[in-house]
Amino acid sequence: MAEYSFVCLQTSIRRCPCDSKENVIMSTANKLVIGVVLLILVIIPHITSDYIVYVVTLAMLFSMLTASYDLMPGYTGPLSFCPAAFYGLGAYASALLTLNTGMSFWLALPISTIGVFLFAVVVGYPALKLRGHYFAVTTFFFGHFVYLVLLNSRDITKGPLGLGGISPPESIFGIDFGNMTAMYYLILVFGIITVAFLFTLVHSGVGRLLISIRENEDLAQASGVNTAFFKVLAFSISSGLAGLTGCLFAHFFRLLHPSTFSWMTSEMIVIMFLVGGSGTIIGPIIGAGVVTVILELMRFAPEMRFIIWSILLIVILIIEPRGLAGMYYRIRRRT
Amino acid sequence: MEDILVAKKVTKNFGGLAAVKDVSLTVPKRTRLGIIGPNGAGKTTLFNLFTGELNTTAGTILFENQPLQGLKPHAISKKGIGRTFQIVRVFDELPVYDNILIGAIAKDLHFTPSKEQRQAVEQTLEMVKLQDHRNVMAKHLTLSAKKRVGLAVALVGKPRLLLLDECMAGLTFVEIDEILELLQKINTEIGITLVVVEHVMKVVMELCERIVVLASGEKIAEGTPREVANDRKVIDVYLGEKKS
Amino acid sequence: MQIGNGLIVGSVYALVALGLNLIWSITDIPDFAQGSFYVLAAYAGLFAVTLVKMPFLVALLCGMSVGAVMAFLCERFLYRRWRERTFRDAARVQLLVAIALFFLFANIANALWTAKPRIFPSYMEGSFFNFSYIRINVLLSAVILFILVYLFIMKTKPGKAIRAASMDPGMAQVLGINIDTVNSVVFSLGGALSGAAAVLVAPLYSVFPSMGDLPLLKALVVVILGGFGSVAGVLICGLGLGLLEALGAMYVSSAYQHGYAFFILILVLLLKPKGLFGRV
Repeated sequence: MAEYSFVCLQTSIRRCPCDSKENVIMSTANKLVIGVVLLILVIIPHITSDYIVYVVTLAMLFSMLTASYDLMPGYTGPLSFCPAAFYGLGAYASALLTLNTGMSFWLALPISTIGVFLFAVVVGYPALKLRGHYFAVTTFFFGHFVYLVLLNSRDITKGPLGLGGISPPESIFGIDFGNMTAMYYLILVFGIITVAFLFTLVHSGVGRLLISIRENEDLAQASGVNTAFFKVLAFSISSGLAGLTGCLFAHFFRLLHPSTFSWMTSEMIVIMFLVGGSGTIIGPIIGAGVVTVILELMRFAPEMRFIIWSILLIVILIIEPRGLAGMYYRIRRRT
Repeated sequence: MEDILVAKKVTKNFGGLAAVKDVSLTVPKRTRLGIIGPNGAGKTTLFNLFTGELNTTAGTILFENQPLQGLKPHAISKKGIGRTFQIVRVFDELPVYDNILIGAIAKDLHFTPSKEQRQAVEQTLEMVKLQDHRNVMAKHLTLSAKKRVGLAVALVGKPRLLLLDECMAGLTFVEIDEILELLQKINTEIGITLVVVEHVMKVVMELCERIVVLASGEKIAEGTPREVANDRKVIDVYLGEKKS
Repeated sequence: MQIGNGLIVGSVYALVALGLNLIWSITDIPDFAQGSFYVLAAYAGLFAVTLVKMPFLVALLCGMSVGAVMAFLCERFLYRRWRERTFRDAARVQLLVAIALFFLFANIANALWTAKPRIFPSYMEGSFFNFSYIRINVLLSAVILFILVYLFIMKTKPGKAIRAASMDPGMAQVLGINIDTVNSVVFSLGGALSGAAAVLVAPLYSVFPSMGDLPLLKALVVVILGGFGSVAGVLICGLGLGLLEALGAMYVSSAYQHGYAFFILILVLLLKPKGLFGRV
C-alpha cells in the first residue's frame, strides 16, 4: 500500500535540483513517451473513424481538466471537489455570450476564461481559509449549488431542456470549425498550450512554493511565503483553465445540459486524477484516457457507469492512491 | 547600540485569560537574549505575537523601529525575522536541499532559483553540517537533523533576528553541544540577533547574555544569567516556596 | 404553518446530522456515505410496508437496521484500513472513500429500483391543527431519538467510553477501551439515525434514489455549524436551519430554497471559521 503522500510524485524523485543521473534518464523516458503520444494524437484523424476522433477529443478535454485540477491537490494541497462547476460555468458563459450577444467565439473564449478565473478568486478567497475537511466539504457543496443554479435558471440556461444551437468557432485562416476534425485539432492545440503552461508553472519558483505550502503550510508562512495568496492563485488558475476547457466543450458538443456538470463529473475528474497519478505530465493524460475509454464502453448502461466509477475509485484508493504513474515509480524504485 | 526588537507592555488575552500581560523587553542588536519560565508562562504565546501568528490585545512591538502589529507571519518573515518551531517543522516529502531552497526563494522569487540563491543554500548546508544528507527526504531524518534543517530554512532567508522556540528539546547532550556551537557562530560571525526560549539551563547559561523570566504571563525578572539565577522570585517560581 | 413544516424538516436534518456529527467527532471522517444509507433505509422501509405488509414501526426498525448494518460494514472493511493514519493523506483517502460510497450505493439504488418515485403509504390518518399526525410524529420521534442518544452518550458506561475515545483514542486504548468496538458502535448508531430519518420522512415526500442528496448536504451544514461533540448544538442548528429555509422560501424566493443552507454556511464560516459551537 502506498506509504508516501499520495499526491505529487515529483517531489521525491524529479524535483531535486541536484540533477542526479537517475533524474536525467527518467526525464528522457518521459520525453519519449510524450513525443509518441503527441505523434499518435496528430495522426489519429487520418487513420481512424469519426467516432474514435470524437472519443479522443473528449479524452483530450478531460486531460485538460485533470491536468488543471492537479494543480490543487497535486501541488498545493487542498482537495477541491468542484472542478465540474467551473467547467460548467465556462461552458455556459461562452455559450450564452455567443448565443445572446452574437459575440465571436474567439472573443468569448478569453472573456469566459478570465471571468471564471475571477469568480474562482472570489469564491476561493474565503473558502481557502478553511482547514482540513471543511474546505473539501464546502467545495462539494459549492459544486452542487452551481449545478442547481444551472438547472433552475430556466430563463437563462433553459435548465433541463438543454441549451442548444451553439455555433462552432468562427472561421479563421479559412478553417471551417463545423468540421469535427478541425475542432479536434483546435482542441489538441489548446490542450498542448494548457499542459505546457501548467508544466512551466509547476517547474518554476511558483510551483516550488506551492509544493512548500502542501508540505507544511505553517513553515512556508514562517519562511515568507504568502500562503493565502498562493492558495487562491492555484485554485483560480486551476478553475480558470477548467472554464477554458468548458468553453471548448460548449462549441464542440454544441449542446449543454446541467447534468454534464454535476458532482458525478467532479467525481470522474477526481478518479482521473487518482488513476493517472499526479505530479507528472503524463499522469493526468493516462488517467483521462483510461476513464474516457470506460465512459464510452459503458455508454449502453449509464447507471452502471456510475457504479463502476465508484468501485474503481475505492479500488484505486485501496491499492495505489498514487495512480498508475505512482505504481510505475514504485516499481522503478524497487529495481 | 540600536535595539532590534522592542516590546512595550504587550498583552494578549484569550477570552478572560491573560496569557501575556504587560510584558516589555528590549533586545539590542547582535545580542543573545533568553526567555525562560515555567510551563504555561506564556513564552510561546509571546513568540507567536512576535511572529504574527497571534495579534496583540494591547501593547506595541517594534522591529527595527517599525511596528509589527497586524502583520501576517509571511510579511514579518520578509522583514527579517526568522523562527523555528517548538515541534520541529520541515517540508516532509522534500529532500533537505529543496527544504532549504524554499527558504532561499520564498522572499525573493524568480522563475528559477538564481546562482546566488543556490550558493546560499550550499553555504547553509555546510553551516548546519548536512551536506551529506542533501538528497535525503526530510521526513526520514533524525530529530537532531530535522532541527538543523528547520534552522537552515530560517537561516538561508538571511534574517537579522532569529527566534528559537525550545530548539534543544529532545536532543542528546552531544547534539545540544553541536547546536549550541552553531548558534554561537551564527551570532558572533554573522551577526544575527538571537532570542531563545529554552528550558535546558546549560544552554541558557552558556549562550545568553541576558535573560528575561516569565511566569503566569508576566515578566518577573531580567538580567544577566548570574543575576537571574540568584533572584529570589525566580527560584520561588521554579521550585515553589522554600520549606524551612 | 410554514414554520411548523420548517421545524419538521429541520428535525430530519438534525437526525442525520447527529449521526454524522458522532462519526465525524470521533473518527474525523465526514461520512458522506450516510446519505446513501438514508436512501437504502427508505427503500427497506418501503418494501417492509408494501411487500411484507409490516406495520410502520417495524418498517422504521427495518430502516434503522439497514442503515446500521451498512454503516458497520463500511467501517469494518473500508474506513478501518486507514484508521491508524500511517501516511499523511490517509484522512483524505477516507474522505474520498466516503464520497465514493455515497455515489456507489445511491446509484445501486437507482439501478435496482429506477428513478421513479415511489409512494410510501400513509400509516396514520388524521391531523392536528393542519399538521397531519405523520408530520408531528417526525418531529416527535426525532426529539425522542435525540434524548435517547444524549442519555446514552452522557450517562451510560459505553457512552463514556465513546466520549473518551473521541478525545484521545490512544489514551482510551491504554485504559482498556476497545477502539474497534467503539468505532463499530458509533458508525452503527450513525447509520441507524440516518435510517430513522429516512423512514420517518418517507411518507411525506416519496422514495427515490436521489432523496439522500439534499439531506446529506443540509446535515453537513448542520454539523459544521453545530460544532462537534455537542448533541444539543446539532439539534438547535438542525431545527434552526429548517426554520430559516422555510422563512427564506416564504419571504425571499422558494425556487432557491435549497441554496440558503449554502449561503448560511459561507456566512458563518466567514465569521467563525470553526463553526458556531465547535471545537474542530
